[in-house]
Amino acid sequence: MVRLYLANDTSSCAAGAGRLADAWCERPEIQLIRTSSRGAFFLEPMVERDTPNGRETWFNVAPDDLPRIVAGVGGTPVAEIPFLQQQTRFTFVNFGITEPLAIDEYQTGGGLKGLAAAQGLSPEAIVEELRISRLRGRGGAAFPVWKKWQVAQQVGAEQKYVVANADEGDAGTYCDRMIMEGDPFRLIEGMLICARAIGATRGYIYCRYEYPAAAQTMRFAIQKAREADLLDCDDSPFDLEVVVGAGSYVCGEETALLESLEGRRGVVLAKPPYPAESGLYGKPTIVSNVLTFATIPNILAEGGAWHASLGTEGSCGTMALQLGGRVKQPGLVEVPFGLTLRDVLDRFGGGMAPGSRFKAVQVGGPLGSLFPESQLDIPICYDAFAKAGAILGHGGIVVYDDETNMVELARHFMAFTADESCGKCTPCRIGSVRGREILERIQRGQGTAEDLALLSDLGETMKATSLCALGGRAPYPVLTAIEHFPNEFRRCQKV
Amino acid sequence: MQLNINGKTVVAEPGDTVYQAAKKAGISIPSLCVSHHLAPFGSCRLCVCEIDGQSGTPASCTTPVRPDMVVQTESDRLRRHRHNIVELYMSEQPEGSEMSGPLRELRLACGVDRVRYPDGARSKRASVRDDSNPFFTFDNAACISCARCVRACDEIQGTHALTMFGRGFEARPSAGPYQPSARGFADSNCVSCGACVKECPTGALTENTVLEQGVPTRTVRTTCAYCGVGCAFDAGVRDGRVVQMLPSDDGPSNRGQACMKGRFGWTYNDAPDRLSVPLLRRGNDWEEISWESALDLVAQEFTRIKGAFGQDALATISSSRGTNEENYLFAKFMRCVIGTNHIDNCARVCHSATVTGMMETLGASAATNSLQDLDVAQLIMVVGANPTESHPVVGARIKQAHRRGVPLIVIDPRRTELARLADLHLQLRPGSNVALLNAMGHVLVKEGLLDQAFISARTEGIEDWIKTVSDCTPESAEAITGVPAHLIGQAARLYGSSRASYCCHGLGVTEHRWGSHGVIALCNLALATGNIGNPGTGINPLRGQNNVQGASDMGCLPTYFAGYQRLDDPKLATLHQTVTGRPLPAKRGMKTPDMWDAAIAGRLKGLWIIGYDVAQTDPNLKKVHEALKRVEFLVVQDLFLCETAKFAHLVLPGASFLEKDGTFTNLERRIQRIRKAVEPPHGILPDWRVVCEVSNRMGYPMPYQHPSEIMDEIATLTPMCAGVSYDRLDQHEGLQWPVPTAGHEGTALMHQETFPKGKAQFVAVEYLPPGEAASKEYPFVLTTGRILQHYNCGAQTRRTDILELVDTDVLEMHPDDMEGLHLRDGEVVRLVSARGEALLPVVGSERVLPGHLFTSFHFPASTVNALLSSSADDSSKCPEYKVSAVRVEPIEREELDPEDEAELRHMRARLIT
Amino acid sequence: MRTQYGTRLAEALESCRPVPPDKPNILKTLLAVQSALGYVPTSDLPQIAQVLEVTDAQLAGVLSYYSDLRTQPPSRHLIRVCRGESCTANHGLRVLLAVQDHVRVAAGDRTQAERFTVEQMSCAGNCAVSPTVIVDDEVHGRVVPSQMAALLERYK
Ligand SMILES: Nc1nc2c(c(=O)[nH]1)N[C@H]1C(S)=C(S)[C@@H](COP(=O)(O)OP(=O)(O)OC[C@H]3O[C@@H](n4cnc5c(=O)[nH]c(N)nc54)[C@H](O)[C@@H]3O)O[C@H]1N2
Ligand SMILES: Nc1nc2c(c(=O)[nH]1)N[C@H]1C(S)=C(S)[C@@H](COP(=O)(O)OP(=O)(O)OC[C@H]3O[C@@H](n4cnc5c(=O)[nH]c(N)nc54)[C@H](O)[C@@H]3O)O[C@H]1N2
Ligand SMILES: Cc1cc2nc3c(=O)[nH]c(=O)nc-3n(C[C@H](O)[C@H](O)[C@H](O)COP(=O)(O)O)c2cc1C
Ligand code: SF4
Ligand code: SF4
Ligand code: SF4
Ligand code: SF4
Ligand code: SF4
Ligand code: FES
Ligand code: FES
Ligand SMILES: [Mo]
Repeated sequence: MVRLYLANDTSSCAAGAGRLADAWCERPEIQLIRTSSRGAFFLEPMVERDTPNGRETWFNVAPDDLPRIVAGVGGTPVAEIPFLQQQTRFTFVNFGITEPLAIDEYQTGGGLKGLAAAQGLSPEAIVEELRISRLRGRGGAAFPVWKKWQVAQQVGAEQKYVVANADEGDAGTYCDRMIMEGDPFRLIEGMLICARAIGATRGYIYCRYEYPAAAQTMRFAIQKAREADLLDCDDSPFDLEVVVGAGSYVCGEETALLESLEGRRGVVLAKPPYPAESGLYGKPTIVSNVLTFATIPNILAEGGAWHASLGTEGSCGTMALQLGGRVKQPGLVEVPFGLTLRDVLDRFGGGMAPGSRFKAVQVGGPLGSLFPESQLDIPICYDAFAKAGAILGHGGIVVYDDETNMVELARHFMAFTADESCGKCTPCRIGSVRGREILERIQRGQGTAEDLALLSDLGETMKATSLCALGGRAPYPVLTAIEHFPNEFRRCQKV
Repeated sequence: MQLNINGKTVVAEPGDTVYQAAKKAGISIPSLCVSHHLAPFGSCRLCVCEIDGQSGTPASCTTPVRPDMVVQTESDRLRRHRHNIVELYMSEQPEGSEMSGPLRELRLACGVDRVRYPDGARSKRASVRDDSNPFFTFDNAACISCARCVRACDEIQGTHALTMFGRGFEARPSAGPYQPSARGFADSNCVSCGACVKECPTGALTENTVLEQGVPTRTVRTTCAYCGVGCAFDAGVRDGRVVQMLPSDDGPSNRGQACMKGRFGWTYNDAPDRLSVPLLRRGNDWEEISWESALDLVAQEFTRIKGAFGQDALATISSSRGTNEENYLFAKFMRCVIGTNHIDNCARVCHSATVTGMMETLGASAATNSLQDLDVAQLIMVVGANPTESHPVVGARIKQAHRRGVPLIVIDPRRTELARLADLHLQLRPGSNVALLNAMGHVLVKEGLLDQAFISARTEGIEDWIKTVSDCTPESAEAITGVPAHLIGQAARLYGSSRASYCCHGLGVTEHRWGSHGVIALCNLALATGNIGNPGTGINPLRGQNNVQGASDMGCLPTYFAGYQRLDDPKLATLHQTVTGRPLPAKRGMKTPDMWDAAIAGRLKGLWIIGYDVAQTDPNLKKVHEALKRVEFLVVQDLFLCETAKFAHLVLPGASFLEKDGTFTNLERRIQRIRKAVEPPHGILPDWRVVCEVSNRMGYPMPYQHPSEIMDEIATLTPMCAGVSYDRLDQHEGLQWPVPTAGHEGTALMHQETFPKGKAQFVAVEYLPPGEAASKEYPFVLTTGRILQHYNCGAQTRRTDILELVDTDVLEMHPDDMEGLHLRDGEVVRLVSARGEALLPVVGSERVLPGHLFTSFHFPASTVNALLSSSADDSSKCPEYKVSAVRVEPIEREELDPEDEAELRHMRARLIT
Repeated sequence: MRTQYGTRLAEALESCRPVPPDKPNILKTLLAVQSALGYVPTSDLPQIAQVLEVTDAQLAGVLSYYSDLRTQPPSRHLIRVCRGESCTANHGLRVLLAVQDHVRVAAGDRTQAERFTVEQMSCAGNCAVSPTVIVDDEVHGRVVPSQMAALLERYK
């Protein structure tokens, strides 16, 4: 009997892995192991099998490819896939290799070493390790992780919470989903380390409604971890629960997330107080992104200095970039910070999808700026992006081709903000609707030069006065679209 | 802490926001959504500022001050953003809708002369209007979605009747129910406290009286005349009429809060059937007579009766609704002109047991602490009181404290709103307070939770008490009270170990066969744990009427002179003679129930009743009516032709609190001014003038020109008010007695050093059963009490739009009992007791336990008090309103019309949620 | 039918009844009701409010806030077309048009046959295999407008 490996995550299944599994499940000659995905989604469904020289793989497999695979014909050694070969996989090291819910495999692959290390350290020493690591939050705001932890650690309270932000609202991002579906114990381990550092006894994973499979895998993993007696923190039980959202982008914002977690309207709250001082139910709470938590076990296992040695001065470690849109090779790319955007698109993205030409790339989700061809040499790093008025966000990179209508795209962005605005603050609540209306007018050919001026004036007020980054960032993609593709907007004006 | 705002050095407290710091320094920052009653929110974004070293333009109302921060609140950039925001607001207002004052001002200030977003091509606010509340209207067209109303309902009132509905551009405030058929406020659990209306910056929520009659042109500071909280209000007057009552932010007991009755329930003042002229009985008819002849008649008749039968044939029952000055004068009239102590007031049926119980133990009979202590209490214990309905502003404050995490214990047979919120609800059988409180004492003793230092330094008689409670195990109490023993233990531990336990109690303690024992048992617990004389502690009776405290303070008691001075005190006698020129009668007078006996026995011939509807609200109505009929000359002085007035020979109209000057004393002993806002109609004389006129005619001149002169006299005769004068009351937020000297600032916290008698006295009391128990013939125990919407005899609240909300007393019965008796919601049943019967609609309610019934007594038609006996507390004569054995009989089911059915269903939902 | 509905509702509510010291969680409860009944019937709100001991307003505020909470029963099949950036870049709008064309109603409406509800959704996290269409719980990636008709025919 031949052991075959086939990914079981949402995207691999959507690409056809599910169909393969259905077709092959009765076949006596094979044993099908469902793993996580390598993240080379352009190759999915990928089927792998063991060879003495490591795994070999078949790409874009169809059900009747089975005999070929069983015969061992036409496979490619995984180690020779350039997309994977050129990556630096630390956080995603297990992907495509292990079974997501096999705790022993997780451990064999180096899992739980970070937790063990943390257990040998005082809470202060854990925070110190993080300070040395210079890890910044991966959810978007890139705030130094240790600073938050230190606040939560120092506030006295009988109850503290750890919350994983698994709302992953930015379109074009999916690494949190991959972690939850593919390596759930890594997230749990990261959260446990945090719990130990701040003295929390309860944790939540706030998972968006759109990720049912991720939520389910996490629930199973929590159950397994509990059975394996992993879920305790300083000898007291650590309660961990998956909570599902219900369709609101703003609920990814930490204060809105906590409101939603308490079951209320997911409306943004003014800060201070910051969640680390007063968060869930008014208690000190660490809200961090899934990827952030997943990065932490390695830091504790290998040491903060190891992490600080990767990447650039201000942006240490690796970043999980998620390629999407019209690139030829969409998928997950874990690399140290510092490569240029062009490098990433060329070396990993493999250029444009067949038959399409590059027009612009958006980094950082729906609130991220657009870059034209001429600006692709920007290094992937928080500070360089900040200097350019752009954001790296959660690492989503979406490439648009030349068939994209920039006026429509700008309208789409404003409409998104108008749809998702929580409605609390005026510039975003009314401004996003007015912005959308102006763009609709331009789209109808009724725009005027004054409209573009008004859009930019409105945009400045939204940027400066909005309560959260939804309203505050919403003008960026629109204004960069106008900046880089002014003709398309002018063409639409009333003569 | 110092910081710099607009180049000016500004001093601020840590925890202040930049906005607050600026405001204190007189720098005003444009704003709409901020309110000092509410937590920082940051919605409108008009208050943006620039801070050195900080990027962007943060909102000043959510940014805390830091030492030495440098802030700019005006700059071209900020002005442009504000311009753009106001423009956005204007862009969503529907065409033709009128812009409210503040928005109009902002528009001028920000120079928004035109909206750049073309009309027609933009979405507007949905047209949503909610006029289902009888008192105020919501119009979405004028709204800016700032959520101040929602936050007010959550943070101030704690009712959560409002929400923001929808999200994004559509988000708007909405009262409750989701169904399109729902009526909004009317179908929500809104308690019409008006907090949302007050917070609304744009007028999207506005009082109907203001919509109909216009905004006030002047305001007069006064005090609410309903309950004992004594909320301060600014009466808004326009064209000689009150059009708005707005709770004052600097009101010492209410801090800007109010409840439905005070805020909206004042329109009885203009009721068409307000008494306007004196009425003389002519057989079954009334003859309108002049004030001259009415006053002559009272003087004549009282002189005649006194001459013919002696001073003991005359009595007065004074009004706890009237002012201190009026009450003092009525008592003076009885003592100096008639020469007797036959004077009483409504406290008799209310907290007289508190007076007795606290006098015996502590030596003073009023709340030991102040309402502000709720801010520092570490635990709150509410015993036999339902403040969210009876004292709503206190109720809301308790809810706020509970939201802050202060634990709450509620001892009540009913699952009241606070009981539902409480950490511990001890749902005892009615009438079993002493058993439960003694068992708590037992646990305190057994677990060593006594405050020995306090006990030895400041009390006497602990041994007796310890001996008594040693037999009162929680287990034995469980058998009597029905409360699980372990809950009693938990309550004792919480109460005894919090370090500051604030106890407040109500009629569930006093209106019992052994009411004063209940009060004593509470005082014992406080003394045993040292919860007296310290901030956040105390024994705090929630006195009922606006001036029930004052009426007793002023000596409208048959057993005490003003200031609770003994009638046989020789020093007082001398002073009294000097000041009034008349001797002080030393013989104790009759309490109200004694008056009924005397009348029926033919000993009482003349009776003067002021603002107290005994014919509806006293117990055992058959007897009271009988007594009233036997009196030869009955004068009743009231705003309306109440039930008692119907028995009168002469009815005198009264001036309401909006039409006179004077003072009320609230439940925290705070003497506060009321001020004349409008003229009394038809030249009605205020009650104090009436006494003066009658007294003048009886040969004892009372030449007072203004109530302040009466207060000056009170001060000379009453040591605890010696330092009170109108000058001082006008400068202060009232004065809390004792105020022994003119330089004394009043007493917020009593018994700090010593008790009036030196040491406080433990008084051992044992549990004794109530006057009546359920039996085969009368299987239910009926408790009577109040509901939020109506007030006591209802004469006032029934003459306001409150009637749209509740227009009947209802009988609350547990759903299981309903099922057992095959009753349906809204069905009218007959309640029968050994004394009489009453008809009431019944509703299923989980507020009561099976076997227990509850109803209110606000509608004369339900004749609830005909069911009750004359059973009363031994020492205080406080009636046993809370326990009567009754049975419930179905009656011929007259078809209720569907509207009533719907109303009752609605009522049920409200009772349960 | 009605009783089965009643039991399912009761079970869902029971599972969310707050156990002190935990506070009632409205969103969680509404989601539980929705997963038991397919939607949140507004007529059941009073009952939900009673179990949670919250007010109608608190429920209404939450229910009207979240786009994934439904107050109408969905059709037999729910088609969700991703409108996230990656799908948009991959011309997902054309997919949406094709779906609408097939179902012949605009997104948000329902076919007469009560067969399909079409909704737009934000990113499904399937960007690398976009454009994405989710039918019921099944995620379809790299969908091509011309194949939509055939794909949807599988859902009866
Ligand atoms: N809305 C409104 N407010 C009012 C008034 C009004 O008529 N309407 N009246 C005013 C007046 S005059 C007064 S005195 C106050 C009274 O205010 P409260 O003292 O709050 O008056 P009640 O509602 O009569 O009774 C209080 C509680 O005692 C409980 N109770 C009954 N029996 C027992 C018992 O044996 N033990 C215990 N522990 N509790 C028991 C009842 O269930 C009830 O919840 O309210 C004042 N405020
Ligand atoms: N069944 C039952 N009965 C009860 C109780 C109970 O719990 N259960 N509670 C008892 C208690 S605690 C109380 S305090 C009583 C209260 O009972 P009452 O004192 O009878 O009722 P109120 O409504 O307070 O006011 C009485 C009258 O005062 C009039 N009035 C108001 N202001 C003025 C004024 O300025 N001047 C004059 N002249 N008249 C004025 C009003 O018009 C009204 O007719 O009810 C008692 N009755
Ligand atoms: C509108 C908005 C949406 C956001 N969505 C997410 C999200 O989906 N996931 C996330 O991790 N952070 C999101 N954030 C950032 C969070 O507020 C927060 O900064 C983050 O969860 C902190 O975790 P980190 O320190 O690990 O980055 C969002 C912020 C805003 C303003
Ligand atoms: S901006 Fe340039 S120099 Fe600064 S951290 Fe990024 S790559 Fe390094
Ligand atoms: S910017 Fe938009 S999403 Fe953020 S708080 Fe304001 S209204 Fe809500
Ligand atoms: S009147 Fe009071 S209870 Fe009613 S909605 Fe307004 S704030 Fe809430
Ligand atoms: S009604 Fe008034 S307070 Fe409420 S949101 Fe509208 S403007 Fe603000
Ligand atoms: S709480 Fe009492 S004093 Fe205050 S407004 Fe209401 S009735 Fe008047
Ligand atoms: S007043 Fe500060 S945001 Fe409205
Ligand atoms: S953008 Fe459609 S799946 Fe991410
Ligand atoms: Mo009372």
